[in-house]
Parts: sequence; C-alpha cells; structure tokens
Amino acid sequence: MLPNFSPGDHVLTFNWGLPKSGNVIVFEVKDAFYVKRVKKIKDNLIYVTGDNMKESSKIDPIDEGQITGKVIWKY
Amino acid sequence: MRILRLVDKFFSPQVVYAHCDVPCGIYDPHEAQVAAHTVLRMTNMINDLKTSSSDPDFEERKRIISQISRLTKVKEDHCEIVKHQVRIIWGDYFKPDHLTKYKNLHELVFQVMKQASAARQNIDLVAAQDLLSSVQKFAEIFWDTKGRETVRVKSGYPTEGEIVLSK
Repeated sequence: MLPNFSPGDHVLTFNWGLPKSGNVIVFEVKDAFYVKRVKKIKDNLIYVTGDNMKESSKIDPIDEGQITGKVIWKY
Repeated sequence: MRILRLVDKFFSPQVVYAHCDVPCGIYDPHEAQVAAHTVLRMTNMINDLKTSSSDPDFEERKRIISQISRLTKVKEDHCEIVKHQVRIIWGDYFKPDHLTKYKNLHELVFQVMKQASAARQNIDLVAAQDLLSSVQKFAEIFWDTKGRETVRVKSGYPTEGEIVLSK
C-alpha cells in the first residue's frame, strides 16, 4: 500500500455502511486481516487492489461479510 | 495521534497485512525448469532400468522394485513442484495487461498442468519432454515481461537439455 501506508502504520476503522470505490478497507480472509483499496463494487462483490501496483498481488473479490471496516484514520 | 498510540500500548491492535504472500515481487521460473529437467531425468532412468534376464531372482527383483519406487516418487514430486511454481507465477505475478501481449499464456499454463499430470501418472518420455519445452517457453515469457532478454544454454544436467536464463 506504499506510498500511502507504510509498514508499522496504525489505522483506525469505522464499520458503518458500505465502502465506496477509492475507500481503504480492512477485511478478513482465512483468519488474516488485510488492508487494500476498493477498486469497484459489482454484483455484491467488492474488488480490492493495492496502491503499490508494482508489487501488489492480485486478490480475489471479497463480500461484505468479510469487511472489518473502512479506514478513517492513519496514525 | 500520540493518544491513540498510547491507547494501542494497552489494547494491542489487530495486525493487518497489505500483501497476501511474503516476499511479494520475488518470482523466478528457474525452479520450475530444474523440476522439469528432474522429471525428464527420472523418466529416462526408469526407462533405462534393465534386468539380467527375463526371469530375475528375488534379490534382483527387490532391487529393481526399490529403484523404480524411488525414481517414481522423485518424478511425481517434481511434477507437482513444476505445477506449483508455474501456478504461483501465473496466479500472483502475471497481470491482465500481460495477456494482451502474450495471448497464449493461459493455454500454455494449461498445457503445463496437463503435461505435468501425464508425466506424473505415466512413464511418458514425450510428456516429460513436452513439459520441459512448455516450461522453457513460460520462462521466456516471464523474463520478457520484465524487459530482460533470455538465452537458452546447455544445462549441464544429465538430460543434456537446455535451460532458459535471463541476460
């Protein structure tokens, strides 16, 4: 998620409402939590991507139930 | 911000990751090629096994069966290594943009999977040779996406085949 998020950053999430394209979200996949940016939402599936396109790995779309919250603060 | 960090000292936050696998960005088709050479070598070694007569004694049978078992295990293990290594690069490294330039990429990966399965299930020299050939083509595509020229050099392995290296 470089350059917007760096290793060691802390984020605060908020889980009211669905995220929109461009929002950064925290979500859970197989007992691990990830932070990615919402690319698009289509057919109830949320497509996410990393900001660092050179190194970001592709991840399958997620559903609403996997979302922990929208990132509202980085500190 | 300092207050939030202070709060986090008492209530540890959940760790989140930005990447699905570590280390991201480190990919190399070399291991797939070495594994494909191993599959070919094991197939050749199984084919080269000979008995001293058409009715060998028990000790010789034991020896041959033991050798075939060991060679087959290595062959099957390395077929799976080829599939694993190619799948990782195909699934994690290649992006949709690459497909516009390398239109046969999906077909090539499909061939690798099928040829590796055939080479694993059978003592099939043609499948093992085809597998190596497909993995070499896959390696050339991979390096081309990075703007690196490739060269095919003698591997120096007993298979006497080539290996694709980036310049």
